[in-house]
Formats: sequence, structure tokens, C-alpha cells
Amino acid sequence: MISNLGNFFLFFSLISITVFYTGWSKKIFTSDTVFLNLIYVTSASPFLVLVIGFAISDYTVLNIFQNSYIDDPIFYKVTSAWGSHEGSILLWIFLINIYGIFFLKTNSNKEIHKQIIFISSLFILYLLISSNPFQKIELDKTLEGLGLNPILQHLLFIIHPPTLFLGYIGLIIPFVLASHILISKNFSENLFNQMLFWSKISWFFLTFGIVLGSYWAYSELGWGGWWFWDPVENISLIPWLLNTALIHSLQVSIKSNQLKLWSLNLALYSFIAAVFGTFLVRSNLIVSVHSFATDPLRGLFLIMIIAYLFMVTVRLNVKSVSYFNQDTFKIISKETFLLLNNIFFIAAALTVLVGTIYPLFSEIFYNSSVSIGAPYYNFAFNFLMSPIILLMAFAPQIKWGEHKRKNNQTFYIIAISILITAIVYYLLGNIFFSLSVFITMPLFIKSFLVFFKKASKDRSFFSQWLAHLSIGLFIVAAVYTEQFDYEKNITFEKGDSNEIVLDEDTSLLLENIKDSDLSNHQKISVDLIVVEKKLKYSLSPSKNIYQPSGQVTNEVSTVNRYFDQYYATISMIESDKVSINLVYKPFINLLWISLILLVFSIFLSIIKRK
Amino acid sequence: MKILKLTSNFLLVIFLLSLFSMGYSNENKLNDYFKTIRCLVCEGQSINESDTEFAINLKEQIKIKTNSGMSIKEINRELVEIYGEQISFNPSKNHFLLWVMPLILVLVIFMFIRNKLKFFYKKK
Repeated sequence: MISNLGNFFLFFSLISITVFYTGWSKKIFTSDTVFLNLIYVTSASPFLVLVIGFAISDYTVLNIFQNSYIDDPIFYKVTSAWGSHEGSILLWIFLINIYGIFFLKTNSNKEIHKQIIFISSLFILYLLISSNPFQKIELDKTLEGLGLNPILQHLLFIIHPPTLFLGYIGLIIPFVLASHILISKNFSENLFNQMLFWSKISWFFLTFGIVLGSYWAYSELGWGGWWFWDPVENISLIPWLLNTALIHSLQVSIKSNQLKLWSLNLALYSFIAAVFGTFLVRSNLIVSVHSFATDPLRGLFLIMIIAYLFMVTVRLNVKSVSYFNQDTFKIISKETFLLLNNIFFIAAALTVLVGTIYPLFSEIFYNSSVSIGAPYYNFAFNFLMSPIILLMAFAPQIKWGEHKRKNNQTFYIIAISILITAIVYYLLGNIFFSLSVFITMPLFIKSFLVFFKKASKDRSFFSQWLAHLSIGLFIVAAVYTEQFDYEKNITFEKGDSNEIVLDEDTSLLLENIKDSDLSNHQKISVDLIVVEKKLKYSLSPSKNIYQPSGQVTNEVSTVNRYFDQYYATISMIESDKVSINLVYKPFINLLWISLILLVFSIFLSIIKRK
Repeated sequence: MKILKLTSNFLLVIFLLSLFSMGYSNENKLNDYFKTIRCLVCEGQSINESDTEFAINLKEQIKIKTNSGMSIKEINRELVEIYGEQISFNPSKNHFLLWVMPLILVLVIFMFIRNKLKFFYKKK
């Protein structure tokens, strides 16, 4: 039933897209808008059908059987719909069409929507050919389902993938708008404003999605880290970096009528980067913790979609290259600074891309496999982001066109920053943290000065002010956490004291070990107390054993200490001893708060436009 | 404008709170080193993050070696000899092109802009 309904909608939407392209739809429906709405709704519905299938546990469908378990809570049953490769591609299609519906409300240009439904139809074809989520199996009454991977049974899993996908797919609107502008040669400000609006929407979801993913990894994987430079994380960073560049260059395009082609091309490549990212994850070309079980056909078809998008883009590039020489502006002006932002952000995006595919390249050409991880990316990002963050302090105050006013303020700000950096170095003795203070301090000082002058009055300026400030906070917090974190592996043995001294002020107390049965898993938890002079922090990490797979997961327990956190996991548990991994993460909460502020700032700038 | 006031008050609170959050210094360099060693039997994790037998054994061995006075550099060289270059997340300096890539990219984009946009040549 579910299977037939899902397949029916998939085919029906393909047919209606064809009908729309051939123009026969005119004979039935007088208005294109109505027909477009029909297409969007029918293409979006297969996903809803799959969700219903999961909710009622229809095990005649292979995908539902493989990814859900009869005793899972209903909440996780529903969210299992996007726990598999097929389901997540279906979610992708669903979201393209949801964007289509909303975009139709603001812009009903038929040519633009034709592109959206065409891209959507490519993905529907991809599903039908290589990974149909509605594939049937023989019904057996005793089946209970194989179960969703326990690592995915987490509240954040429910919101992280859809949010990230909303971010990736949000880039489709700037993509189609940009190609429409290039084809029709209509460089009107209205279209650029629409592009800015939609790229901000996408940026909001992308940032939020990445932050959620990061928080998920931090709170679920039990490694105490929040960013691992895993290929999949990198790949989500590429569209984010390009989109950030796009938002900045669009300001120039709108406010001073320059860099228009530049922005359009950025929009085109951002969406390609997003699709390319999903392709790399699905094709299993790159080893990652996020890998799906895959077959080569999937990769091949996705590569065809990317090749198509790429060809469209390159053709538009070639056609438009003659417009390029028209941009001219003064060296000391806001335009230059925004362009500098673009140079570094694009370079960062390309560096991440190179770093991610370099192992493949090395294997083919040098015949040696190499791993690229945190040391390389930290080096590259320190190099590429430091100048940008220094500039970020001053650039927002530079005038459009030509900046003439000169004063000594910049000099004093830098001097004070150096002084503060020296004090911080003297107090803490950590060179990396001191450097991070040096690059962010001008931003903090300038933000403080500007706040009373401008940011507290002007809302659009305020959102930008907040975004930049939260980036500064984020950098300080992130460097502090990484430099001053503290990890200990502690073993309690039977018969020994249940209190272990960590250092002069703190000790760890073992309270008790519990064993409890829950609906789909068995839980063994260890109650601990960190005693710090008078203060006590209780922790209760656990190990969960899930049905039906018997897979064991480590559940993290954290407790806040102002902005810091104690973070505990069980590294080993036997009948006569327990090993605990205790991590102290200073400033980690400030890191999350700064990221929330960043997301909030873009939200402010979106609602301000209405 | 209420929203502006609320957020700025919030920022102030954060600032004050952060004054309380000082403490500890970094004393586990070894853990930082573990983060750069790849767990070869896992999918892209470092041995610091992994609970597999491979990771646990390797961590033990490295601990024993540092206690016997070997420097991290020497240990790293030994590991690369045994397991190949993929053991380390820190690619060696033989991959020169990779390490200078960020600089090259910035320069290439800069040159592209210089040629295409020509804004530096503008005279009044």
C-alpha cells in the first residue's frame, strides 16, 4: 500500500513535469502557478508517504524494514525515515519542492521554476533508477525490523539532517536566480535582492545545521571534541564558506552596483558544492564516519547530475565572460574589503576541497595513501582566517565608494590589543591563545566603540555587528577550549577507595552503579561526583545495549561549571573495575553560545527585511 | 528595539560570567598527539577517540615509549615506518604542494581579480 502510493506519486510528478515542459498543461490549467503548485505538492508527497509508512511500521517495504524496529519509540520510528540513504535523498527532493512552493509566492517567473522542477526531476529519476525507497519485500508476519542505528537515536538527529539539508537545498534558489539573470541578461536590483534574501535563508539553516551536527558529535560520540575535520564535516563547510562569501559580495552588487557577475558565479558554484558534497558522501569514495552503505551506480548517477549542473554553469561563464571588465573601484573602500573577504573565503573553501580529495589524488598518482586531518586544516585556517578577522574589526566602518576620513583610532586600537595580548601571555603563558586574543581584540574594542554610536540604533547594522562579534567570541572560546582542556582516565577497582584525587583541589567520587531495562535498550550507568573544595558536580555516564542489534553505545554525561564543563564517559566496565574518561572543557559553553548568537544574528537580518 | 537591548544585556552577562571561568593548564600533550594518529581499523577516527583494540594497544605502546624517554618525533617516525604514511593525520612535508596550497589559492584568486576586474588601475 505505502509502496504503491509512494511510487505512484513519484511517477505522477515526473509525468506532470513533462507535461509542464511540453506546454500541454496550458490546455488543462489556465494558470501556470496552479500547475506549478500541483507539481511541487505531488513531488513533495512521496516523502510524507514514507514517513507514514515508518509511523505505522509497514514492513512490506524493504527500506522501512531495514531501518526501523517495532519497539522503537514512535518518535524515532518517524525520524528513521531519513536515517537511510534512500530516505535522505527523498527528504532532499521533498525540501527542493517545499522551497519551490515558498519561492513561488515571491516570484512566479515560469522560466525560473522550470529549472527548479527540472533539478527536482533529476533527483526523482535518480531515486527510481538506483535507490528506490519504496522497494517491496515478501510479507512475513513475524518481522520486527532491523532497527535504526542506535547512534542515530538522539533528539538532535531528528533536527540536524533536515536543517542541514534545508541549508544545502536553500542554495538552489540563488542558483536558479543566478542562471536566470545570466540567461535573460536582466541585471535588475530586485532579482539581486531576492538572491540575497534566499542565500541568507540558506545560510541560516546551514549554520544552524552545522552547529547542531557539531553539538551532536560533542554530546553523543563521547570523544569530547566538537569538530573533527572529518570529510563530511569539511564538505558541509565548503558551501557554508562559499555562501558566506556570496552574502558579502551581494552587498557590493546591490549597494554599489559592482561585482555582479562575481556574485552570480558564486551563487552557481555554491549550489554545485552542496550537491558535490552529498555525492562524495554517498559514493563511498572517501572514508568517513558518516559513510552510508553504497553501490557504484548511485555515485555514477549523482556524478551525472553534478556534470549537468557544472556544464550549465560553465556555459553561462563562457557566455558572460565579456561583462567582466566593467567593475572598477577605489582601493580604500568598502568594496575592496568585501572583495578581500571573498578572496579568503573562497580560498578557504578551495583549501578544504583540496584537502578532502587530496588523499584520492595521492593514491592515484603517488600510489601512497595519506591522511589529512586537524593539523593541516588548523594550519590552513589559521593562515586564511586570521587576516580576515583582523580586517573584520575595521571593515564595517569603511565607507562605500571612497573612504577619506583618517584618524589615529586604528593605531590606538592595535596598540591596546598588543598590550592586552602581552598581559594575557604573561598570565597564561600560552602562545596560541594569546595570538587568538591578538586577532580578535581589535574586533571587540571596535564593536564596543561602535555599539553606542550606531549598532544600538540601526537594526540592520546591529545584526551584522552581532554576527561579527559572535565570530570573535567563537574564536576566543574555541582556542581556549582546545588549549586548556584536560583529560584523565581514572580506574576504580573493587575493594579500593571509591574516591580518587585528581589534583590538590578536586577529586572524583564513585557513588554507585545501576543497571536498568528500558523499552529498546538496557542501560548500565555509573554515578559520579566531582568534588571541588565546597562545590559538587554530579555526573552519570552510561553504556546502552540496544535491541535488536546488541550494539553498545557510550552515553556521555556532562555537568556545567559556569562556562566550563565536566564531560564523562565510561571507557571500560567489568565486574571488578570501572574506567572513567573525564574531560574538563573550559569555555565550551561560551563556544556554543557564540554559535547560537551567530545563528540568531542572521535570523535578525532575515526578519528585518519584511 | 527591545530585542536589541535584551541581546546586548545578554552579551554583558556573558562577559561577566566568563571572568569566573578560568582555571587549569594544559598538561596532557600526549592526548594532543593521540589526536593526530589515525585509528586504521576505524572510519576516519583518531586513536584518541576510538575504543577499538587497535587504538587502545597503540595508546599503551606510545605511553610506554614516552616513559622510556623517546620523543614524540621519534615515535612518529617509527609509526610511519611500520604503518605507512596514512597513520598520521599530519601529512609529512613531502607533500609540499598541499602545504603551500592555501597561499597559492589566495594568490591565484587575487591574480584573477586583478586581471578581470582591473580596479587597481582606475585613475580618476
